[in-house]
Amino acid sequence: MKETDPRFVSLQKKVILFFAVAVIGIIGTLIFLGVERGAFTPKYRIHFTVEKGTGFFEGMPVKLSGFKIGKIQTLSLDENARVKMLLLLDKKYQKWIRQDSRAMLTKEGLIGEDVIDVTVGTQGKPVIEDGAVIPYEKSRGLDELVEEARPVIGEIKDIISYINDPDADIKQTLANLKILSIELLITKENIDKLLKNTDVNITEVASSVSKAVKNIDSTVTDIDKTILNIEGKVSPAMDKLNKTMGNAEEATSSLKDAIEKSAPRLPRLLNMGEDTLNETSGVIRSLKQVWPISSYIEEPKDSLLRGDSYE
Amino acid sequence: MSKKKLSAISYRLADSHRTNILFLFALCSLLFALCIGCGGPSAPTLSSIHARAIEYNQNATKAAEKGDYEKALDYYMEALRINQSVENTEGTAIGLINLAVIYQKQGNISEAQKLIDMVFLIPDISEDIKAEAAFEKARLLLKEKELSKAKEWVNKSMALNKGIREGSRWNLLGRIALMEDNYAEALTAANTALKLNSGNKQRVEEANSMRLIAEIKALTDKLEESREAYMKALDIDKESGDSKKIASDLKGLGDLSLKYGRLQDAVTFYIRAYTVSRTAGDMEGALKAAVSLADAYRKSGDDKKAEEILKTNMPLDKKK
Repeated sequence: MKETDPRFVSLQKKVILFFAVAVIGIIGTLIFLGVERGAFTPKYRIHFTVEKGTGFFEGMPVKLSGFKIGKIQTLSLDENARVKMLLLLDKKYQKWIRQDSRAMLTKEGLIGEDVIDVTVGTQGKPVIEDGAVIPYEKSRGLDELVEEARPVIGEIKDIISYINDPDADIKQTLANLKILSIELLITKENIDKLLKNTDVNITEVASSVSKAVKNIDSTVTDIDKTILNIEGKVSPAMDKLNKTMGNAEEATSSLKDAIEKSAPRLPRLLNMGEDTLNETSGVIRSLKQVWPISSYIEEPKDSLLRGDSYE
Repeated sequence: MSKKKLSAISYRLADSHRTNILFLFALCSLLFALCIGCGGPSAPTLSSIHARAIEYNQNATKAAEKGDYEKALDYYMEALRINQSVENTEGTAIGLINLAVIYQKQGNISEAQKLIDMVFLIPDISEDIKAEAAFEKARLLLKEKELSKAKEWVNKSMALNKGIREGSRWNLLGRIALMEDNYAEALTAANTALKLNSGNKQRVEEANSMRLIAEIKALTDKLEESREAYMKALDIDKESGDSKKIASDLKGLGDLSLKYGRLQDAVTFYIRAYTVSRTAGDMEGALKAAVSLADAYRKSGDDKKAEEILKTNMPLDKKK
């Protein structure tokens, strides 16, 4: 039977065309998504082995200079019960990953996601080939750094308490020096008095001088005694101080070492933490503007204290 | 059943299933469109500096509500400084009024006057704010006992903007009239205020109207009407939780009882007023109630008790 209604003439062709367009559209979308997700990008694999698989997961991003270059494809236990990580990386980044490159587990910000960070290799070194091993470097967390610094802090505390101890040699030496300075002050006053009296009477001066000389003699003897006393006490104190300084130096170098190791990471971590917090605030602020949440949040405004007619 | 019938039934079932799916799909699309359509950003948000000024203002208001006027002054000053730095005229005017209210609560009338006068120098502020400033000016003038000027400023306030606060203006007019011993005018104003406050659901001001009516009725020897008005005011004040006003209502009831020789009732009301003031930390109110209580005891012939109360509560005079 021939179709007479003009609306249905060549309906079959129209339907076929419609489906063809839809199928082409779907295929196009799939291709586009595949390209976007890097399904058609050439890949290569490298691996490394770690003692424990804690913190790793399949699909974990692998980053080079902050850019995602691949992911962990598989995690598996080897014959020695160690965990083998197989990284699937984009081939185009292979030129940067060389023999001296290192892989390490890091966190993006204080509360960011865990990623595998691969360092850029030196230009002259050979590139790591498909299926080869990349060395893994264990990154130290903040807890480990704190643990490392703990004995150093303990030593510093001991040194400070030793210096502050009133019975310790340092404090006693300082007390003796104080006494010595007072005695020297008295001597100076005596000499001043003598000089004032010189023009009064030569005889008196002579006798005063002789007395003063005697005073000076006795004072000098006192000073000698004091100095000897101080020397006797200062020597062991100096020995202890030297030891203390040695300890302090050692502690400082350990501390410096610990700080040097951790310092480059700390500002980055702090910055990342700050960024994350800022981003979170931004997200919350944006969320507050989104319907229907926005309708429940009242726009803040200046409140006017209204006077009471009875007060 | 024939094959044809079975096929027809299955077709109908499939058709209804298809309809359901289509309906669900349409519903989801509608919901999605609603979310997307309404999900755009709302009205322009405040800049961070304005938000900071508002934050100071709100913290100050909270401090004022707790009775920490020094802290409130500090926060209002900071809010005012920020608003002036960005020439936010409305915010500045609000800040000046708020500071004036706090100074008035502290009894610093001259400082409050200066700040309120500054509000009228600010251009481009809303009538509502101007009306509130005029009302504040009237309250300050009333404190200074400048009754005619106070009345003038209340009328200015009403001319600027009536709004839901109109009842409070009428209350103030009533108080001014009462201070002028013009009871008829005072009662008219109080009744107008009561009607407006009740209609506008201004509960605090409604209680003020009731208390004013009670005071006028007491002065015009209408014992029962006065008592009734005081009781209504007391109910609303209890609902608002305003200790000072609760004590004031109770003391009013005590005064009323004393005036009509109901000494036992007077003693009971004064004790209640004293307890409320004392426990709320209002030493001035407690002292007033104690003096009235002593007076009630004296009138009932118990001079010993009266003296004992005064002796016990004299230290409050220093604390207030």
